[in-house]
Amino acid sequence: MRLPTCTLPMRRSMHGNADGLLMTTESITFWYGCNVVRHGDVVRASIALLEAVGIEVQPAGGPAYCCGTTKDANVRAAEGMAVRTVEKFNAIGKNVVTWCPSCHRHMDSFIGAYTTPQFEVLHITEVLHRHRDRLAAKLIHPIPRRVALHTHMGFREVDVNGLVIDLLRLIPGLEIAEVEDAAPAHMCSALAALPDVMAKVTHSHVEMAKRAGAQDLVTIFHSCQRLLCGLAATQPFGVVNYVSLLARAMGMALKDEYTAWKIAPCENDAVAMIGPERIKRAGAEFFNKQVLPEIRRKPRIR
Amino acid sequence: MPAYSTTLGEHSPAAVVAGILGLLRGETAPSASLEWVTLCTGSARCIPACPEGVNPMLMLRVARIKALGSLGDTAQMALPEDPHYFRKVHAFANMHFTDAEIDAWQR
Repeated sequence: MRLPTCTLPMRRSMHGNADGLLMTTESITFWYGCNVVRHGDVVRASIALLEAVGIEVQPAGGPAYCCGTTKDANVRAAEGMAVRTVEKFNAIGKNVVTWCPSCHRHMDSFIGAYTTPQFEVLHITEVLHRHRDRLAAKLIHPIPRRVALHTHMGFREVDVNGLVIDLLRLIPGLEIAEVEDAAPAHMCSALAALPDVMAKVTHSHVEMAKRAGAQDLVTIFHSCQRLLCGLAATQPFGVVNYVSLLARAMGMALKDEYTAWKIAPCENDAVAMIGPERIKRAGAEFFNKQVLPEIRRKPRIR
Repeated sequence: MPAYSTTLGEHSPAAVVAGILGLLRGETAPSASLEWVTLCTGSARCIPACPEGVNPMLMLRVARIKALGSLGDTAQMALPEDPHYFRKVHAFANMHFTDAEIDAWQR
């Protein structure tokens, strides 16, 4: 079992140059990860944005494409997951665009020690930013709202905060408040095991959004959207992912159902919004025991 | 990450780091070092701060893997795992995606 070296520079060999990759390759695998499937609108918006800038997209995600990063307690299992996923991507034969920072990091730091990826990897923010001129031409629907960006400081592999600010600036009518209050970790889920820290961070960002007079707090990653969207039930601002805003500016009406379910006034309302067919597809008993309690859980800010 | 600990700040930083290095060598780590492993949020602020070109964040991740006993060592800490993690992913996928999308995207 080889583990990554802890001395810099970190592995970069399989990563593309943001200015070079996709210059000639316009067909990619969009590796959206696992937990983002709670937000079908985010997956669909991401695909639509990539297609809007002229890229042919093959989406891939869910447990069958797990990177293994959740299996630190069982590195053998993590290795098996990673090897299986890389073999699938090698077989597809296209470069890979990531959504999830955990997948991106795990590919960067660990997976290369297990197997040999035969593709380059870029994060979706790099690809959209690289093609921002094409994207800007599609953003024709103004969004006259004032927003504040929820940022983290831990995803050093990609300057997502700066790239997303640049992308949001393409949206006509959108006013972006200048705030500097980056949270620790690479995204909120990394703080979930430390609930007191998560509560402090959430409280800090609530106050930051209020001071900024933001109508929306804009998230970059899915776990931040998942863990913060419930704030909309009690705070004077909404919580929206940046790809949702970009898609809306393209004229796409994608409903953020996860948030709607979470902030519904009562559980019965949420269940009615989800509907019996989808509950059946999730497995009714499992839905009631595991899915619904998660949906209804609100963020702690103290 | 002493700001998030009530006790870590009372220990010598050198001793805490030495405990991590020992852990990476397979030794039993002192409790303060294990607390650092547990409390690391992955802010990455340590990386540019390190004058030795070490990625301390990755070092702590590997230390965590070692402390969990994942590499065959005796486990020195436990990691709470959600036993329903992947089933929840499947459930939400089934709630948001069509069968055709799941077949095309997630098989």
